[in-house]
Amino acid sequence: MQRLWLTLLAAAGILAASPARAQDPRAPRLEIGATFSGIVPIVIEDGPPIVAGAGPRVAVNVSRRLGLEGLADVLTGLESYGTTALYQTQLKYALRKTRAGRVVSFTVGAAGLAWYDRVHDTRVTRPDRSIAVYPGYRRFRVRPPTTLCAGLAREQIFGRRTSSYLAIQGYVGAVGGVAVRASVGLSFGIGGYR
Amino acid sequence: MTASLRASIVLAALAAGCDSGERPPAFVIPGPTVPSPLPTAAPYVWDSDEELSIWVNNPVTHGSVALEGDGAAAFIRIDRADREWVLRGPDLTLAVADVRTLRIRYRWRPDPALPGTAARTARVTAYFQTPGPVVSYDPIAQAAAIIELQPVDDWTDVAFIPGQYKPPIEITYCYLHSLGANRGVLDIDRLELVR
Repeated sequence: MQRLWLTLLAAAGILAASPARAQDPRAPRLEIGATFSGIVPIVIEDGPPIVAGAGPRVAVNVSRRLGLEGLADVLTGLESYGTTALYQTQLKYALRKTRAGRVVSFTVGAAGLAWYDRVHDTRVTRPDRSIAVYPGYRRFRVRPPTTLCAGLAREQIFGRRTSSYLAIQGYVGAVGGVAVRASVGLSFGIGGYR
Repeated sequence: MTASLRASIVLAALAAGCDSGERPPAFVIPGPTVPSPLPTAAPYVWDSDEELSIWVNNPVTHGSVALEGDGAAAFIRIDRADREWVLRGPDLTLAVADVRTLRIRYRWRPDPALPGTAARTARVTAYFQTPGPVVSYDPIAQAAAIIELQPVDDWTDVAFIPGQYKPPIEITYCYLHSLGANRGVLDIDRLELVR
C-alpha cells in the first residue's frame, strides 16, 4: 500500500511540472461537487450485476493540470446491513484543455470501502418471563484503500463557477474484484473557472 | 494544525483501516422468582403432590396445567397440549453442578380424532438457567434440551436430549416449555435432574 502511494506521489511531482498553455481554462484551487455512479463488477460471479452510488467529491488543484481528488459514494443494491460507502483518493492530470472549457483528464488512485451499522436494542421475553436484552450500538469500519483505480474524466465548464463531470474508471482489487465505474456529476469551482 | 497535517492524518487513518464501536454485552432482566417452600424427599427429584405443586403453582407456570391426584400418585396434567404451556421449577438455593439433563416420567395420549397423517408426537423443551455462559456466541442463552414424546398409555421415563450445550452444566433453575402442537393430554408424574 505504501509503495502505491509513493508511486502516485512521484507521478504527481512529474505531472505537476508539465507546462500549461496560455489559453487553458483556469483551474480553481478548490472544486466541490457531487456525483452519481454505477459500478459493474466484471469478474465476480455472485453479487448484484450493478451497484449504484451517490456522494460528494472534492478536488484540490495543485497546478493548472494536476489535481488531487477525494470522493465518497454511498452504495445501494448491496446485500449488507447498514450503509456501505466507497471512498477514493486519486490524482487527476489534464491531458487536454480547450478554449470552449472542455477538459479531458487521466485519473489514477486508490479506493476502499467503509461501513456504518446502527443496530437497535433487541429485547426478547423468554418463556420464564425473564427478558434478554441485546443493547443497540453503532459501528463504523474502514478498510484500507487496496483497490487500484484508473480512468478518464471529462469536464465541461459552463458558466463561471460550474462544470459537469463525466468519468469512467477501471478497478482492480478488493472493491468488486475487477470492475468498471461510470459517474456523472456537477462541480462548483471556488474562485471560478474563468 | 495545518491543513496538510490534517490531510495526512486522514490519509494515514484510511491507509491503516480502522474500526470503531463495539457491541455492548447483552444482559438479562430476571423473571419472577419461584422459591421452594420445602426440600424434596430425594435430592432434585419432584414426585409427590407437594413437590409437583411447586411446579404448578407459581407466577411463571401457565397454560392448561393442573395438579391431579394425591401423595405419591399425584401427577401434572396438561390437557390442552395443543396450546403453549410452561412449567417452571423452583429456584435452587445453591446452584447445582454436574447436571446433564432432565428426566421425566410421562404418558402422552394424542387426541384419537387426529387425522391419520398427523404427527402424534409432543415436542417439549427443557431450559436450564445457568450462572455462566453455555455457548460462546450468545453468553446469556439458556441451555436447552429437547424431546419428542411418543404416544404411550403407561408411565414411561425419558430424558431430554441436550441441544446447544455440552453437559455437565451448573444450573440455578429449570423449566419446561412447549409451543403447543397436537391435541391430546400430557401427564407428568415425576421430574428429576440427571447428574
